[in-house]
Amino acid sequence: MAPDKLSLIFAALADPTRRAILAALALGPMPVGEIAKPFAMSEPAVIKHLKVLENAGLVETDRKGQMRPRSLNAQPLAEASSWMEQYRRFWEDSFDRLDAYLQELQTGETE
Amino acid sequence: MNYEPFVLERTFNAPRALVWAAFTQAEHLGQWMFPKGMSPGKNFLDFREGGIYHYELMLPEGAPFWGRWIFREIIDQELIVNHVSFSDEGCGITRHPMAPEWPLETLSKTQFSDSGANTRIRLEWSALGSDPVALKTFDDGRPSMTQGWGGTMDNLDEFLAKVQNV
Repeated sequence: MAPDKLSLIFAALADPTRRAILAALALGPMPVGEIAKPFAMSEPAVIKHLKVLENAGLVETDRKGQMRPRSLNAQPLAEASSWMEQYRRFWEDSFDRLDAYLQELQTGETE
Repeated sequence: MNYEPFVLERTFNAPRALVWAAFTQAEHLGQWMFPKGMSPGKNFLDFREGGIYHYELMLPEGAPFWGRWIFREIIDQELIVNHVSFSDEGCGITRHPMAPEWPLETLSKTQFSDSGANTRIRLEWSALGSDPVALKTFDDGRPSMTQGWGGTMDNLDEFLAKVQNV
């Protein structure tokens, strides 16, 4: 079964360190050393997180850059947001209908 | 996958037994559980753990959609845990017909409780990855997942605003 793109995105976003990395990269591209600075973890540990983000399409590596800076790609976030928004809208619409339906059932209307 | 779900809560002006019936009987479900712009078609319900709800959704034009729930856990008048996916007429599992990158399955958990004479519904959902890489990713992140991420759409909204408007 092919990977679920959105599942990868949600899994990547589930971790606070990775969300912090994304927030830092929103300021602009930076090399791994700089990304790692605010965190109490080793560079290899940060690289592991970056790989998860990269796998989800949220982070890109500039392979031509001397320090191979990483940058943010926000597009997948919009896709994730759209999925949740559509799911939410579906249930809100359905619940509106359920609300009216329950009233009908209780007042004995058959419409 | 169990990373924190997204939550929708709603109180219905009806006793819990009736709300439960509306969620667990095919003739009731077909009256309200479908997206705006579509109308319900055929449906089939086998309400038990391991059972399914298979339903057809009609568009004004074009081929119908099918959806499928598989019931994983049921506690009478308290809890329904089910997997939700798009489906076909033969009840197979399919991707979203128009958004193939969507999660193949969604894990949905519906809790029922009294709120005075009314009934409170708490619906949680999360993407259920079929992909071992995603599962592995999730497991790697698990120890830190109890903090942060409040689990609502608002959190993501806030995060998106922060990431995109800095």
